[in-house]
Amino acid sequence: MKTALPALLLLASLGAACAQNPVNATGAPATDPAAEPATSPSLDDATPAPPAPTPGERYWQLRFLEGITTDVDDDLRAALEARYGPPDGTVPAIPDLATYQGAGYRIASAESILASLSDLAAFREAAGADVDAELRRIETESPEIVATIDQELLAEEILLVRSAVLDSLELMAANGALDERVVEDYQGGTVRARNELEYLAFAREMDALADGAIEESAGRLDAFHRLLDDTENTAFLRERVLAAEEMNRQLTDEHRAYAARRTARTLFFLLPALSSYFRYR
Amino acid sequence: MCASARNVRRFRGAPLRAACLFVALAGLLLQGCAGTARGKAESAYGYDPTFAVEDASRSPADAWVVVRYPAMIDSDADAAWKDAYARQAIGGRVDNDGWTSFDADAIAEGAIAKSNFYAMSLYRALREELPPDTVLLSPHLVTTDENGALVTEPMLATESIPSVLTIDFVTYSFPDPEKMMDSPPLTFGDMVTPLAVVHADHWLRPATNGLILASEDLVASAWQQSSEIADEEFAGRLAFRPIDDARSLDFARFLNGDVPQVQVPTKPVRSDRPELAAVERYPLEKIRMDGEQVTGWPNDPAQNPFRTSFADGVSSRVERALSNFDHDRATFSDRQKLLASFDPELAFAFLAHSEDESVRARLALAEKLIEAERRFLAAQSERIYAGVFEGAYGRSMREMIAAEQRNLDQRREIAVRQNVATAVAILAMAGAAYAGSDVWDGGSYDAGKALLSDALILGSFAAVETAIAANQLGDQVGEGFLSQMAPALTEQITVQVRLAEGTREISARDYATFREQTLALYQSRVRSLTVDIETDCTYRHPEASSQGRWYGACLNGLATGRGYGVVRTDAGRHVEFLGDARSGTANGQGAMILHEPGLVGAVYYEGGFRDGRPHGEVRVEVAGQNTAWRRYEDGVDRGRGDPEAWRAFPFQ
Repeated sequence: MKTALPALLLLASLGAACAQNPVNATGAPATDPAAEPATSPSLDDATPAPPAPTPGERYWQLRFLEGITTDVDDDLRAALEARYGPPDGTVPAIPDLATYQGAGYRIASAESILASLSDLAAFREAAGADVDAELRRIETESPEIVATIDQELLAEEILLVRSAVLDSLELMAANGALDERVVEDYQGGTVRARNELEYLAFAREMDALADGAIEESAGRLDAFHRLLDDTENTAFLRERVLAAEEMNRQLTDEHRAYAARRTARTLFFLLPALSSYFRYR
Repeated sequence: MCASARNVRRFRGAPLRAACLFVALAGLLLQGCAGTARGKAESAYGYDPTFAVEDASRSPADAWVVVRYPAMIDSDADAAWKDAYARQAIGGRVDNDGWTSFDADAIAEGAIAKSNFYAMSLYRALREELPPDTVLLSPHLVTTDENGALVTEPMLATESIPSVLTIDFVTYSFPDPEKMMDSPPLTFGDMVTPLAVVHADHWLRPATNGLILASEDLVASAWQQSSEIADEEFAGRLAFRPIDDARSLDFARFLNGDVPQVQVPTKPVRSDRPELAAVERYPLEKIRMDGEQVTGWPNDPAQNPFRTSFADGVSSRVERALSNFDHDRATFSDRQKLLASFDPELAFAFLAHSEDESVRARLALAEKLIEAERRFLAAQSERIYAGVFEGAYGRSMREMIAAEQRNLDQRREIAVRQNVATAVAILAMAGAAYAGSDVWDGGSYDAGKALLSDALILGSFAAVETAIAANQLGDQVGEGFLSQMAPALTEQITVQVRLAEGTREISARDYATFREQTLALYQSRVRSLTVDIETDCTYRHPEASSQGRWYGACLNGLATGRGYGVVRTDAGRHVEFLGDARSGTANGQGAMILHEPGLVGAVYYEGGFRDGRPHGEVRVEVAGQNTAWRRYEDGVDRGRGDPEAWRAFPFQ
């Protein structure tokens, strides 16, 4: 796991991403991100507008949004809204990591994390269908880009932020600021996020085990084949069969009586020749 | 034809005699009479290249098809195999005069050799049509049990993976060398007689105990085995003990000849009654492959004549079946058994259909483990295919089949020439026939037959030296065969390969090594389940005074919620139920199988239940009858049901 700060930065950046979204808070499609450069609705107008995200970045952002806000049910959203007010469309400005000096940045408190969650949850509620549609569109149009996304890293980031959110929710609940029951679903969802992350790591290791075993088996077989091919002289055998057949054609009349005695047996003489070697012991 | 010629006597009119003679003569000239090994160019199953399987099942871990075939024989079982093969002939009666046991033994051994080879074509056809890693090979070792009866054992772990369908495949020749060439079943040169059985878990087709299709001569033995395995599953689950569902190849069971005669409900290939709960009866076919392809096969393995004449058609048939079947329904029972082998706690929770996150997460890991093992086994199947079909063994086998083909062609050619001579003889008799003489019915026709016998002799002669030469070829083939399978063998078998520089030993890779690694990884990652597992939970049925066993959600010791229950009624009926229960009995949505003593097959109910009995809209399957939708009230059939109102039970 990484430290909390990058994850919180991601949370903030997600907010910025949401602000650049082609959907507005009412859920109506606003613009096509591919066709229109992103604008910055940030509170801080002095902050330069970030470049439009690539499909990969966009996919990451949207999956991240989904991962954070899944299992924020109506009760929790209402509780957050009651505490932090309705979403006002403002989001934290995205930090420019290239020039980030460390000064002036706030350390996220439980309150600030939950305030952000409240905004994100409201956004997800309003624009969830559009987010899903955009995700499917990217998957359809850019499958090769989606395939390169590190699912394990994404799951790890989601779990990190969810854990911070859950800690904040539990702290609020312990302080009596939130009803414990409204936290339960989010708690369950966070356990699932953890399990999914563990599954991805498990699947990677299991695939590596299988790949190794398969490779070992294949290598051994190839060695057998080479070994057998080296010792087999198919052409020689074929010549012998053909020579025998030619001899038959020449000798047929003279050996008719002999052939008569061997008729039935010889027809399938070939079969035991093959099968007599299929012995286990 | 000969019989029809004799029947000429019945007709007093000369024109009729003439017509009959003409037909007989034409047939003789066109086809020959004996020893020419005629067959059909294409199997009853036609190829449909446009068909594609759609699968909406939950698990990506299952295999779709496992192909089982006899690959080797234990030396101790040699005599039993040969005796049984000669005793249980398909396609006619075996006469013991005029031939030696050596001849019949050769044919019996040849069945294993050819099955090995042709099974690869079937595998290849299926593999190319179905998704990657979903088709597995399961070579079997023929051996005997403690009573001396033939049994077969899988040589790989393939059959531990849940599979939607399993195909038993073998090629066959009639065991009487005197009649072999003219008998309906023959596998020699361009002629192939495949025998097949397609079966599945009994939950897929409860009325027929999971038996889908069988060659007509294997129907009874396959039916018997399917019934026995269904019974064993019931008994094992009732007694809460491991289930021994090992199934010998149906052909081996057939050879034992110990199958009771049962009126098995069957239907023909391409039946117009798809809703009939019956076993598809695959007729005995002697398929004649494309001669040119057989001739060119040694040099071009891709030109596979068996695929075009049989394997592709069967592949299409299997694809249709896979599309029609619910894969989850077909595999849930086997999946539960496999889970029980390495995670009994999860196996219980699996049948309870628990939605708890801890169960979901653990099941996901287990499914991944199964998928990895299936992938490994699929790779092994691919290696076997490469070794047996495309490697040195395959090349030699194709050479031998081509040599057989040349031999058959010579026989056919000579037979046709002799038929001309016979035809002349018949024509000579024709005048007498026209005159109403009895000469035709006397010894003259037998003279014709004698000429044909000569043709047989001539045709067979060419095989003498060929066979001797090919025997040397067989040496090479035999050496290569086992070692080419060796990397895939389950057990630690050491194979000795004779090489020019001496003998070398090759040890088979032990599948268990891989399994140990996968299980170790699994065990290091699983978390504990947060659901209660009650292994001693009661399931009841109104007609059972004794209690049954419930695998699933439980409350106060009684089945409550989703799960799987088994119980034996006082009348000896076996009851299996999968679905919702309350207070110990079936209540809610579910599926129930009833096995009644003395009844052929089983009765299957799917739909609503109340207090252990069908209730509401219910789908009913009875062996030998069309599937029906009925309306029930507390187990009483109240008439025709409404399929639109019926709700299928979700096996996912």
